[in-house]
Amino acid sequence: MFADRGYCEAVIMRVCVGLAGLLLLGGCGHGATAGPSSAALGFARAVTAHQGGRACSLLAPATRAQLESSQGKPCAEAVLGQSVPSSNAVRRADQYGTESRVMLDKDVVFVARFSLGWRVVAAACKDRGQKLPYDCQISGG
Amino acid sequence: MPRDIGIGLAFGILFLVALLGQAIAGFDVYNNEQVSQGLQTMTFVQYLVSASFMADVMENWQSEYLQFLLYIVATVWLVHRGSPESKQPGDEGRMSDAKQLVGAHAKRTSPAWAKTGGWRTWVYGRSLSLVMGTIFVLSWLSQSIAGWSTYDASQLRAYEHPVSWPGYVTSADFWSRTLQNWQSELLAVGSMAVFAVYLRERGSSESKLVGSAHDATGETP
Repeated sequence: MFADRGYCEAVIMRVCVGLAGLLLLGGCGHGATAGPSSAALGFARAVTAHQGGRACSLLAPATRAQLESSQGKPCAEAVLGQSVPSSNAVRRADQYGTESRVMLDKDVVFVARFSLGWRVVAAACKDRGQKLPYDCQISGG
Repeated sequence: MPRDIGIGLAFGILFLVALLGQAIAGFDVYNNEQVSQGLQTMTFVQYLVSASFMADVMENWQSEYLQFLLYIVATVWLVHRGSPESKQPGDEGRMSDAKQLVGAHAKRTSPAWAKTGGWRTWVYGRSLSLVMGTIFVLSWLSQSIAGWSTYDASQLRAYEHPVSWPGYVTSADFWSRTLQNWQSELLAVGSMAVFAVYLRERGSSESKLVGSAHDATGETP
């Protein structure tokens, strides 16, 4: 009887400790921002170096399709016609789950994680103030 | 033996079934939204550990634990004449050691910390609200962090500015998620206490005997 009670108390204690750990761990949704930063900077540098094919390989599928559709040209050609500021450094990156905003020295780029890695979903974005969405020249729609 | 722990067992199983159902439905909703926005879908395991699923689960947990925490603590000092959920009018408060069977008044079968007196008896006499309150605080904190991550991810999907954690816990999104749960829990528990004055459920420990008078308070089988 007393052995049973001790066993029950031990099980309850383990469940409580596990629950507390799960609750705290579960809330944490942030990760390293090396992937997003690398994709954003790689895209900006590729456009600056007139490497359209490389720039397009770093675009998200929907963004690439939108760019080709709106410009009526293949992506590699269309992307070089956009006014993408020539950035060389990452000032700040914020990541929440599979979404990230990378603030480059001369541009703001939105990046998302896909099965092949981080890809640019919007670039050449202008800040219109805290309450309004960025105005992005390249975006997925 | 399982019959002796039927309530815990049945609700434990129902909880797991409902949680699995929520996970499957939430996984479908999440991936449909991702596909419609041209974004990457998740695997089921990735969804189970995502901030999105955690926020949905935690916002319900915190409200349930708050509901019972408030009910446990409020019924120390508040009574409702005729309700089986209430003590007798006049018994408001923590009650005497003799009535609570603690310290010198403890019985041979009383729990050890009820007998010892001092801080152990003080803590044990409030252990239910302490544990329920701790789970409430942890799950509400977890909701705020997971909800923050989910909210900012949706902000970034719309090319909008992310907010800080203090910004999120003072936002309309956080309080809308929180209060929509609180109001329903408070309504359910309050209405049950009042309905049980006049209504009966034959055989239930939450009801008075069917033949009990409406003004009979605290009577359960």
